[in-house]
Order: sequence, then structure tokens, then C-alpha cells
Amino acid sequence: MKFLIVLFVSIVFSMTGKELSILMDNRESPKDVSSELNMEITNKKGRVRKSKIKSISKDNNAKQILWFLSPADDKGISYLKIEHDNQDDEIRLWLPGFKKFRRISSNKKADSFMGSDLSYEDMTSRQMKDYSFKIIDSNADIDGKSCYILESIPNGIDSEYSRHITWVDDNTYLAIKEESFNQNGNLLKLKKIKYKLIDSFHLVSEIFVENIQKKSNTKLTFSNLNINTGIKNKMFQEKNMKRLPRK
Amino acid sequence: MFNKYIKQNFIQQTLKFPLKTIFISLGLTAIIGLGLLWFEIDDDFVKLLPQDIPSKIIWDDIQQDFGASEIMLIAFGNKNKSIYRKEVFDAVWDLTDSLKIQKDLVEEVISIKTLNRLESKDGFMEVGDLFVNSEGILTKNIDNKDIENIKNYLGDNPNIKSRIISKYDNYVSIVIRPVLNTNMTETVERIKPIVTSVLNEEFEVHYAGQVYITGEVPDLIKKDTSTLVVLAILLMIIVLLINFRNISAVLMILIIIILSMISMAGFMGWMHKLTGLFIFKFTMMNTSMPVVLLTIANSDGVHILTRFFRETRKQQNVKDGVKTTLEALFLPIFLTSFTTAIAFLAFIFSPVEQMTGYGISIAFAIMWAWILSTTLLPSMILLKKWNVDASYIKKESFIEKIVRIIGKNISKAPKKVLYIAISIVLVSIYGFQYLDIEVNTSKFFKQGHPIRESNEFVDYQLTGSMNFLINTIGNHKDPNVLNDINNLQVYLEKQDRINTTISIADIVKQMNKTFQGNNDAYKIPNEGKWDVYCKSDYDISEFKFDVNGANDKLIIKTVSNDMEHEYLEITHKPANHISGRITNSNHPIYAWETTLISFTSDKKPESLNNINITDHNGNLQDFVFVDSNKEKPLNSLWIKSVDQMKVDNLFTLYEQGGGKSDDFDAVVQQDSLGTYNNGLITGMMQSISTKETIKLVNDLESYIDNNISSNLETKISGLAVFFRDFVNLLIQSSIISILISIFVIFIISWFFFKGLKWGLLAIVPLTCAVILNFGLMGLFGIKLSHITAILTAIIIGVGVDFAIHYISEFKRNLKDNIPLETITKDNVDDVGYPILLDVLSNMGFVTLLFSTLIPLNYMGGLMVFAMLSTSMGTLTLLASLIEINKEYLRKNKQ
Repeated sequence: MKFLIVLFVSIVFSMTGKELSILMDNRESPKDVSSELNMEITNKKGRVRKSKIKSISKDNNAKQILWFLSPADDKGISYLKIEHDNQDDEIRLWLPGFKKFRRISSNKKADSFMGSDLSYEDMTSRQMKDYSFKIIDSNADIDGKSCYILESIPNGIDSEYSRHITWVDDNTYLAIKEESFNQNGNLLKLKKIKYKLIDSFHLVSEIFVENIQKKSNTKLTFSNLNINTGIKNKMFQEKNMKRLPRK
Repeated sequence: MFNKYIKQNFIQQTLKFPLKTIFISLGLTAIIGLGLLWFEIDDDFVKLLPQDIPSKIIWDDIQQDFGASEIMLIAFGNKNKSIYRKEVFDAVWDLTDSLKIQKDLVEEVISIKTLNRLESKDGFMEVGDLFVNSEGILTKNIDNKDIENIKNYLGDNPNIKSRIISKYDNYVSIVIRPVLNTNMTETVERIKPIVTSVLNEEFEVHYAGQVYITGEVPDLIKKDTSTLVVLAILLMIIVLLINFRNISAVLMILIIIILSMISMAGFMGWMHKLTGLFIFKFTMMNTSMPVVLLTIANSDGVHILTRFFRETRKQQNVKDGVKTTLEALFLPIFLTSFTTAIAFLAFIFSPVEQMTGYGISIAFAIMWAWILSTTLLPSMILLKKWNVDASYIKKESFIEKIVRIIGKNISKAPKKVLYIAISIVLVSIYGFQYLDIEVNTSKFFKQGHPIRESNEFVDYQLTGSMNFLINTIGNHKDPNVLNDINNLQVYLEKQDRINTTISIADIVKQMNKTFQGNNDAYKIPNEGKWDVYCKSDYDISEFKFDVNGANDKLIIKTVSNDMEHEYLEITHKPANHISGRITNSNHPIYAWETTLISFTSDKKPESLNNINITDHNGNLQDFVFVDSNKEKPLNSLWIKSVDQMKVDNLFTLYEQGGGKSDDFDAVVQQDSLGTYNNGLITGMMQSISTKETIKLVNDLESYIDNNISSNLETKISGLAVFFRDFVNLLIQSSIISILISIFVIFIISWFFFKGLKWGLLAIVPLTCAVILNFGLMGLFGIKLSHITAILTAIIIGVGVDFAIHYISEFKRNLKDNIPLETITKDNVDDVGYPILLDVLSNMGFVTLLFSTLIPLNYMGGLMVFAMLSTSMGTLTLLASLIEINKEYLRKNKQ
């Protein structure tokens, strides 16, 4: 309902950045998603490292576990993420060699996820209250799709970025492309996102992140996407990080 | 046939048409000299080294994978001041930046500014820069507190500190790894001015490293040689002038020498142009060529002019004097040139490729010198107006008088002379066992020389100025392989002259220590811990199996899939048998790709036998044991090394903490699947002699054979190691050239002098001179190197000439029926003067004794000795042998 009101208001009056972000945030999403990810990290010398990951998530990605299936060096490593509204998000890492969990504290969110160009901050959702939003352009175009250009600026939170510029499809309210700038105002990362329609849900099928300064890039491809399979909340606990999920 | 046809034609042409002969010779020389347009000098010493020997091939492969292995080190500071002050850190910053921008020359700069800092933070490893301010930002603007911080970090990590800070904290070093295959001389020439411009004069600066030495040496040799050779030529001119007492004669000889040099350089240029081969470039190996050609071209000219003066004195007619000179000397000069040329062509068989070009070029130049000596020189003599009554023709020179004395003595007591000569040769044979080799260029400098002092400074205060490499092939994340590498390093660092080593094992130890936050964890994870994994759709209520291959000390470490399964009861009897049973059926063991149980064992477990698994329904399931590297079917068990997983996790944490996988490129390379299977141990050591290098490498190979497991394959290389193999080649090269030359000269002499006995006699002085020279080198501790090895060329070039002249003249005298009573005296009178004059005029090379380079000192001394030994060998040993056997020789004359 809220979505419709906002939509109506935004149609009648020109939309604000905040309204657009609400629309983005309130898009319908499945109860849970399981998928397989292929991650390709290419460094500045052109060397490529490929990983295979199993993912389950719930509540619009607020809860997620990732298990690394390959290469053999990384197999057994897993991540658990639980996002909270009113407290710090929890990200934990399981190290099978040391039989230890490590909690990634909020001041380490700029750290790289498994050596990729995605940081932990990139992997967590942005809380509306933590950002100020502004539409820079309502009639932009990208790859033949009309879109908004939305600027998001962190508001007093610890972030490695000073702002993000996001191209948002004006039909689906999906982020298609994003430029993220570091604290010095220089372009740090360029992200491109693709989606796949499954049962009326737009699910991320590919994320491409390029670190402009390090001249490296990461490509995440999602496959075997299954939705609403009844993943329980109790799946998202430490003990399940230690064991790979049955197929 | 040769004598009659070619010789007569040659002589007639010269006698009848001297002007035409001059123009033709000059014209042809000019055409050859055109090749100077393509004459190239190449200072790159590394290219001279044989490319196809195994250690060089390994070295090339290592450098392809890991980049240039040889470094240039710049150390600066002040003797009595700590480096932990702002001025020093500013200088490090500025110098690092100035060097890094030379991208065509510099691959990597290692300094305090470029090093990483690994720290434990919040249970993770954080990888950052070492040269940072209090906010962790890489900046030049650091204060004393930040410097103190850096100092503390380095103090906590001595293995890192030792690579860049001196023993007493008063010097800091910057290491430059050049771009692969750059010219070392050019590298040094460009870097030194940069260092001078950045570092102010308050710092004491030292340079070291193989790049520096190899880059500096060619230039030093060039400078030294060019100055001293000019002096030698001046001395030669003076000696010739004193003896000939006529400037035209000296000038004519000089003209022949200069034109021969031009033709040699021109020939090299033409050959380089036509073939493109590196062997025809002028390199450090070729620096002795002008010296060798000088002595030979000088020799021809001296023989002709002395003979001309002698004949003209007799015949009182210039044309007759020239004619007789040519008739007498045409064959011997041809023979001496031909045999010398053939002797140098024997260098084709040298395993040192550059010597092939040397041999071919100088062989050509020698033959051209012969042509000029027998055409241009006599023509010039004919065209000049000589005063036959002048004292320089009429009166004997001082040397001629000395030669008479020698001739008389040999005739009087030939056996005595022979025995004395043989004794000297025999004594020198004793010196062979002491003959030693030194090819380490850093040992080429005398004590007190700035380069040697800097090298020694770096040897004792810092990491050392030489290195060697061990290429390691194996899984570099396998703790067993890492332990092997570590043990190898421990062995190496116990050796006297090795200061430090670095490999991926050091990095793993550093990561482990940082992650664990504990100095005691500075080691390779190696607890001998193993996890048994299972994969099944069923949960498990009971399991049993025997661990095959683990030793009796198998100890259960943890239990269950979750490591804290409270309902699992474990039995561990007999020693290698493990059984587990769930005591609460509501909590079976989750069996999909998780651990079942962990245990430690000193020995690596090979497999699991007698497997019995019961699922949560109480049904016995068929399970198989599989290799952990293979595909895992359903209902399978496998064993994984926990230590290996720790190493894997450390690398993951490193990248997570801000590090990059290519940070390790200098010590390990990834293949296309991301496996670290190609590693490098770099050992930094003090500059050691070739002998010590040989021992070090041999001992190392022995240690590896006896102590390193088959999981790790090793290949030893590096410039220092490569020199060991080069040394063997050098010896081979010298021996091959000498033997072939002696044999060829023997055959040619046999052929031309028409008799086996003459062939044998011709090689007597040469053989004795070789023995004398090398024997005395051994006795006096003069080391054989790739510079002094060229001595064989000089001995061959000169040694045979005197004998051929002597034999040729003797045969002539026999033919002319000179009385046997005076034949030796007459012979010595005829050939002794040019021989001695030749020797004396080449005494100028004694100036090389004043070179700053030890090998050039040896060259100078040995050259002088070679001339003396070959000439005296001819005038004593050969002369007395012939004198003793003259009756026999007359009877069997051909």
C-alpha cells in the first residue's frame, strides 16, 4: 500500500530522491532465494581466479549464508550475514583450517570480500536513514532504457565511499549501474547489474564490479536460482556455516 | 709448387709494381674497412655467457617466471648515526619515487617505502603499507613517532628488517630489480646520477649487487685498457725506434698494424651486418684482440724490416735486399700467419660462443696482416729512398750484438742449455696442481678499491652482494613442501657466507604469526592434524574404520561434524581403529561434506580401511574411501590435512586484509588454475670466490639429495651458481684450443717443412711455453679467469711464430750448405734479432700491471712472460735440440 501511495505521489508530483529509494527498497521480493554463484576475479595483470559459491538468503537478503565450493583452497570457507535495523549488521567468517569464526566488525566493512572488488559494505543493504538521496536526472537513458540517476550520500556513517551515483530503471526501479566514489571524491568503483525475471520477481543474475583505481574487476554470475523453497530462519546460524548444504 | 708459383708471382708483382701494389692493398683494406659502419660494441657481459648449459637455461626460466634475479643495491647512511631520523626517511621516499619512474629500466624497488606491514587486528590479518603516518596513510609527512612505529615493527620482524637495514641501524638500503634483459651497464649509468641528485652529500653511499658490478666492469676494463694500451704502443714505438734508428721503418710497421686493426674491425662489422650474429660484436671478451693482433702484425713487420736491413747491409742494394728478404721470409711469414690463424680458428670448438667470433675475426685479421706485410710493406720499402751507407743499415744494433752472444753460447754448450731449459719447464709442471680459477667479477678489484670496499660493506653490514636461486616445484600450500623449503633455508642460513634467504615459507610463517597474534606462531602450520570428511545424503548414527598409514601415535583430537557433538561416543582401540556411535538417536551426524572426526598423526595417513557406516535408520551403508583431490561420489569418505587448510585460509585472510595475490610474485607463481606450484628461494650471501661457490653449490646439492622429500623438486641457479658451470667451460675451452692448436701446427709444419721431425720441433717451444705459463700461474697464485684465459690465444699466436722462423731459416741454411760448426750460430744471428726485437717491442704491455683490475694486472705480467718464454724457448730449447741433432737433420734433410 505504501508503495502505491508513494508511486501515486511520485507520479503526480516530481519524485524526490528519498521517494525513489523507497520505491527501490519496497519492490516485491521472494521470501527466500537459493542460488549458485560463479565469481571471477581479474587482477590488473589479467590473472583470473574463479570461485564457485552456494548461497541462501532470506528477507530480501537481510539474512544470507555463502559457502565456497571451489577452488579447493577456499572450499569450506563460509560467510554468514545478518542485517539489523537498529544495531550493527553481523558478518561472520568461518575458517575451516583454524576451526574458528571471525566476526567482521563494522569498521572493517571496507575490507575486500574474498579478495574480490566487492567490499563487505557493497554486500550489505543501505539503510534509508543512513543516507541522503537526490535525483540528479529523471530522464536519463542507459542501454536503451530510460532511467533516473540517483545520488546517495552517506550521512554520518562509517563508509569507504563519499557518494554513489546510481542509474535506476524507471519501470522496474532496479539499479542497473552505479558509480561509487571514495572519500577523496575520486571514482573508485563502477558496478553493473543484470536481472532475471523468475515468477514475477526480478532477481540479480549478474554483478560486474570494476575497481577503477586498482584496475581489477569482479564478475558474479548467479545460476540455479530457486525461490520460496521454505528456507527456515534457523538455517542462518553459525553451526550451519561449518557444513555445506545438501543439494 | 706453392714455393715456385705463388711465391714467385707474389714477389715479382711487388718488386715490379710497388705503387700499384700499394694502391691495391690500400683499396682492398678500405673496402674491408667499410665494415666499420656496422661495427658494434656491446657491454652486456651476461650475453657472453654460454646460453645452452643447464644452469643458464634454468636461470633464464626462473627469470622469465619471476623477473630479473640479479639486483643493484644502494645503501646509504652515516657511520655513527641511526637511520631512524626524518632526513633519512625523506631520502628513502624521494629516491624510491625517482627510481620507480624509470619504468623502462626498473621493474621493482624494494625499500621501507614499498614494504608491506602485516598486523593482527580484531582477529584478522591487516595488510597495509609500512611507511605510514598515525592515520595509516602512506605519506612522506611522517613524524618521529611514526618513525618510531616503523622502527618497532621492523624490530619485531627481524627477517624483514635484515633485508633493508644494516646490522647497527646506521645504513638503509634500497634494492632495485631491473627490467629483464636490460643492459646492466646502461642501468648503472642511469641510476648512479639519479642517486647522486637525490641523496645529499651528507650521506655515505655504497653500491653493490651483481647488476652494479657487471655494469661497471666493462667500462673500467675499457678505460683501463685504452689508456694502458696506448702507453704500450708508445713504448713499442720507442723500442723500435731505438733499434731501427730510423723513423720510416717504425712508421711502416705502424701503418701495417693500423691497417690490420682497421681490417679486423671492418671484418667484424661486415660479418655482423651479413650474419646478424652476436659473436661478431665487440664485447668484453674481445678486448684482448687488438693486443693480440698488435703483437702479430708487429712481428711480421719486424721480421721483414730487420731482414731487409741485414740483406741490404750485405748486398748494398735496396731492391736486392727486398728480393732476398721476401724470398727468405715469404714462406715462414705465411706459415706463422697461417698456423696462428688456424690456431685461432680452433676457438670454433670453444663452448664459449663468443670465442668463435673472436677466433674467426682475428684469423682473418692475421691473414690480412700477412698480405699487407708481404705486399704493402715491401712496396713501401721499395719506394722509399734509403741511404745504404747510413748507420741504421751499416751498423749492427745493440740487440744484434746480444744475439751473437746467445748464438755462441748455444753452439758451445747445447746440452747444458737444453737441460736447464727442460728443468725450468719441469718445475713449472708442479704448479699445475695449484692452478685456481676466479670468475667472480667482484673479486677483480684490489683491496681498497671503492667497488671492492662497497661490496664488502654490503657483505658484512647488510644482506650481502651476491645471490643464488633455488627454483622449487611442488604445491607451495602443502605444509610438507613448505617445511622442506623452510628446512632448506635453515640449512643455508647456517652456512658461513649466507646472510639470509627468502621464500614463500617466510611469508606463510609471517601470516601465521600475525593471524595468531603470537610470536611463537612464526612457523609453518604443521601439527600433523587430519580431518576425516564424509559425503552422504543420509545422516549417520555410527561409523567405524581403520586408518591406514598413520602411526601408532594416532590421537583423536576432536569429535563430530560440529566438533562439539555431545552425543557422540568414541572408541579408539586398537591403535589405528576409530569407532563413533551416537548415544541420542535424535541427533545423528549431518553427513554432507563435513568432518566426521579429527586426529593427529606424525605420519601422513594413506587411506581408510574396513569402513562400516550405519545411517540414522540403523541401515548399513556402503561407503568408499577416495583421494581428497579427486571427485567425491555419494557415500564417500576422505582425509584432508588440517595444516593444509590453515595455509589456504591464511592466504584467504591475507587478501581479505588488503593484500593482493601478486604481492607474492617474487617468491611464488600461480598456474592457470591458481595453484602455487612454482616457487623461488633467494639466498643473499657475501661475495665469495669461485672455489667457495663451487663448494657451496655441491654441498647444497648433496643436502637436497639426502634431506628433501620427493614432494619438492629443486633446481639451483643464479649468476653465482652459473659461474660454477662457466668455470668448467672455461677450462675446457682453454684445453681444447691449446690441444687443437698444437696438433694443427704440428700437421702444418710437418707438411710444409716436409718431415715429421720438423713438425715435432715446431711445437716444442709452444708446448713448453704453455706449460711454463700455466704452471707458474699456479705457483704464484695467479688465478685463471675469462680474461686471463685469453692468454692461451696470445701464447698460441706468438709462440709458434718464433719456432717456425727458426726452423725455416735452419732449413735454408742446410740447403745452402752452411757448415755444421757454425750453422746454429748463424741461425741464431739471422732470426734471433727479429725475435728479440719483437719481444722487446711488445714489452710495453707491462703497463697493464698498473691497471686497477687484477685480471688486467695478470694479463700484463703474463703477456710479457709469454713473449719471453716463447722467445727463449725457441732460442734455447729449440736451438739446442736442433744443435744436438744437426748431423741427423743434415743427413735427412728434405
